[in-house]
Amino acid sequence: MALIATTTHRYEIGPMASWWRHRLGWAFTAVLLGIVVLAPLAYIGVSLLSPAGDGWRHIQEHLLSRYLKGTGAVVLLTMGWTTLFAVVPAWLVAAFQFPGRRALSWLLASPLAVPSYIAAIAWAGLLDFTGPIQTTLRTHLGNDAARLVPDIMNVWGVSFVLGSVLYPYVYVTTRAALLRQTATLIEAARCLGAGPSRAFLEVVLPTLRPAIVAGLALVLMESVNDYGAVHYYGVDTFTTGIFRSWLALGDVASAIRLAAVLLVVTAFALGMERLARGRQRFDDAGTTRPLSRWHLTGIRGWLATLACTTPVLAGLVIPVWMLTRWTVRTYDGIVWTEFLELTVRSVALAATAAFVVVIGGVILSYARRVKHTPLLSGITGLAGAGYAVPGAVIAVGVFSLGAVLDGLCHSTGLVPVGTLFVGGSVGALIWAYSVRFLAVGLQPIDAGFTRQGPVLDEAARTLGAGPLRALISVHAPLLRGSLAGAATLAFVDVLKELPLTLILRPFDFATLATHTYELASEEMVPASAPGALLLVGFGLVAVAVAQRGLLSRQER
Amino acid sequence: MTAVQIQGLGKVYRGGTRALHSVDLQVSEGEIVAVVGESGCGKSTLLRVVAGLEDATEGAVALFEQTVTSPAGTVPTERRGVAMVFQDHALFPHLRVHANVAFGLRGLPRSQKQARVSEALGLVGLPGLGDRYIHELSGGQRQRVALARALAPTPRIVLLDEPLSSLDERLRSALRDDILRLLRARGTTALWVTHRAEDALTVADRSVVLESGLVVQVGAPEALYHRPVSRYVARMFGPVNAIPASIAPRLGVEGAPAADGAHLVRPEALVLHPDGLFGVIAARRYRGTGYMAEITLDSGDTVLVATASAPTVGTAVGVRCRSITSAS
Repeated sequence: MALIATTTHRYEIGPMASWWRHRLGWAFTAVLLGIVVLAPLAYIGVSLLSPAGDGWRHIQEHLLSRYLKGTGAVVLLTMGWTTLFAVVPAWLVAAFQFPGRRALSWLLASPLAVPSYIAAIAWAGLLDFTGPIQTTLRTHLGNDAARLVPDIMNVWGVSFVLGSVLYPYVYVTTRAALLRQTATLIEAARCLGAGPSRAFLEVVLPTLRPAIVAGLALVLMESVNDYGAVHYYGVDTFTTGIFRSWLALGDVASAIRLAAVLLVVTAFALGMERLARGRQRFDDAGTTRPLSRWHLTGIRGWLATLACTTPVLAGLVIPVWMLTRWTVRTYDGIVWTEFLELTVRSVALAATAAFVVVIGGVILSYARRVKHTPLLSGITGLAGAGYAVPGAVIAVGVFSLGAVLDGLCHSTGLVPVGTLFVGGSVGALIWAYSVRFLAVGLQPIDAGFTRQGPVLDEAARTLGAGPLRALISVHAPLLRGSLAGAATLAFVDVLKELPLTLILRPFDFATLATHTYELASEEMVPASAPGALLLVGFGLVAVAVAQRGLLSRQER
Repeated sequence: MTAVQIQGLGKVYRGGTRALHSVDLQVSEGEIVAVVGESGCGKSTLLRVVAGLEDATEGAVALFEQTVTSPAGTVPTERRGVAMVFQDHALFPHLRVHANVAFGLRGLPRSQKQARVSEALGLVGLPGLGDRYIHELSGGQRQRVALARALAPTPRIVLLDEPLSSLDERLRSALRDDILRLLRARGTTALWVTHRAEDALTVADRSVVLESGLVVQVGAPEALYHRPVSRYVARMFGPVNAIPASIAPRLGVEGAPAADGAHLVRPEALVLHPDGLFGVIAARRYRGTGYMAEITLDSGDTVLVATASAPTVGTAVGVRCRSITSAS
């Protein structure tokens, strides 16, 4: 028998590890990164110590309760709509066969591509006095019929619009949980004589609760963060209050205080979610079988189709239809060079931010894997919390801290006085995007790492590969899908981000999002449509990419 | 030369669970040592500390007389030159078989690498499967690839963590014999963690028995089987009778009792004999090579006796010790 030992390639035993080699290099880098991400938020906390002005007293007496009620109502109503739009379709799509199921399974997630302020503009345009519905009713049935069209420029309307574009967060998490769920549970229920509805109510729904709540947590963050839709519909919330104090009144101290109150409220709500989740864990057994679907035929099949089509109509088809109508009307007026410049600038900005987010996410996630310390877990957890912080709050933090850093740069003579190095630059914008969207990247990357058991790292180590080589030649190829997903989601989130960009952008610097919103606010709604349509287009690409990753693994 | 020297090794996990208590062990070059014990006894932890996948809380590990784990610091796993075969293979799912095997051969010229890979695959009986992806292989094939991957860089020490436990019975023994053959042919030192008596007895030069993180006995298979120091050790390697000192003389059991005072006697060491202690056959089990009779003695104790022919339940028999094989 030929023996391998005849060739001489022996493992040699190496020296003891230095502290850097001993996995601390990764931890150190990650902590540094965490500090950069958390500094703007910490600065807001510190700023609270500065004395409040008269503005804050006025807000406390007259506006605070209104903001609180506004945000509360918007958030609760939106969560109601999202649950309605998401849970039943997710169950139908996962457990039944009916006409159009495959396409709808995909399409149901697509309203994620429509920024809330764009949906808000489109729905307002659809239902207002000069909109297609009222006009049609007036011409055919007279003024009285047209007056029956509900007014949606209020808290009910804005919640419906937010719900129709945010429900995919709940839909996606719920469907993923349904697909991950082992068929055995439902088969057991069926063998015990339970029909579809009883199996759903008594077996499936309880196990879906963590997924639904996780999706609702995202909805909560997004609806708290929203500025464009609520402002357009004239509803006062914390976010509009921050804008008013910061931009209209120049009252930084009040803006920071409002931001702090909002942070506390959001943190409380998310803390409740954690508490509710308690000891529930996703039990990712490797040997799950997909559900075998019940066949719905005849009228019941078509009812299922209808139930799944409605959310897609509300969140995607109707807004896109309105935007297309306007675009067709204003097509000749488009200044192409300007439009192209705007597009290129927005894409470049979003791509840079997405790159930063992915690199940051990999470093944070991998450092925790290489050397697990409580400090590191804490920092990664906190760094991921940026997503829960409304964009307006982050923008205020980055801007104020940037001003301090600029002051330092000037006093040390690094940068000539009068130039802005950090504050109000594109760099600050990317910094703020990274703070806000790090979690968007971190989450899929973390999930990707978790799917790879620690034994792969151990195998790589015993074969002589250190952390860096293991990352490059083992984890990265296996994470490809997660990385692409993280990059795409971050890219689109940055592209459509409105409140943060509005506050932090350099003078005269417009992106597709700000340009679109400004035109719409200035009563030039049709002119805003081409940009809006383009944003939706980018969003659809992102949804497609994200979904392909999800579906190819879990459903075929 | 001493290949593995473990001294006073202790391990407490975060959260306070103690996995190892001052473990001492010395393994000579070329020796194959089985690490046995119930699940949770610390045997995997011991292996992982030797591999450097876990740090120790106390004590030191030296490989070939070079300290790799000590209070002063550790050599990272990737620089220890130990290979490991994992329970569930731990093959890289995105790489083909040949790339998996070549993973540890970094720094070799391409031609040598290829030669080494095909040699390793030939050794484990899988020539020509290099282009397959991992998911295209059966469980037994996967474990063979894992073995080839571990052996390809010619490690001086191989650590095996229950390498056979994911395989069915027939594959187990075939692969066990193959692994043993390869390790012996190359004079590789091995620590082999298993919870199966059969593996430990057939594979190892010596076995270490761990109980709750403590080494309770180290020795050759024959010694562990016939002269276990405690019931725990005895039960690891097969059924055993714990015979109280009160009836031991009447059964003809000689020698010193185990720590708790009982004499540990294997069923094969007892025979049915009219000149023994009387009892009634309460039950019998067929076990392929013969029968196992469960006998309730007149003293009230129950003993197991291995018999060649089928005993009849309900008959009165006499039981006595075959020879002088009892506890130590």
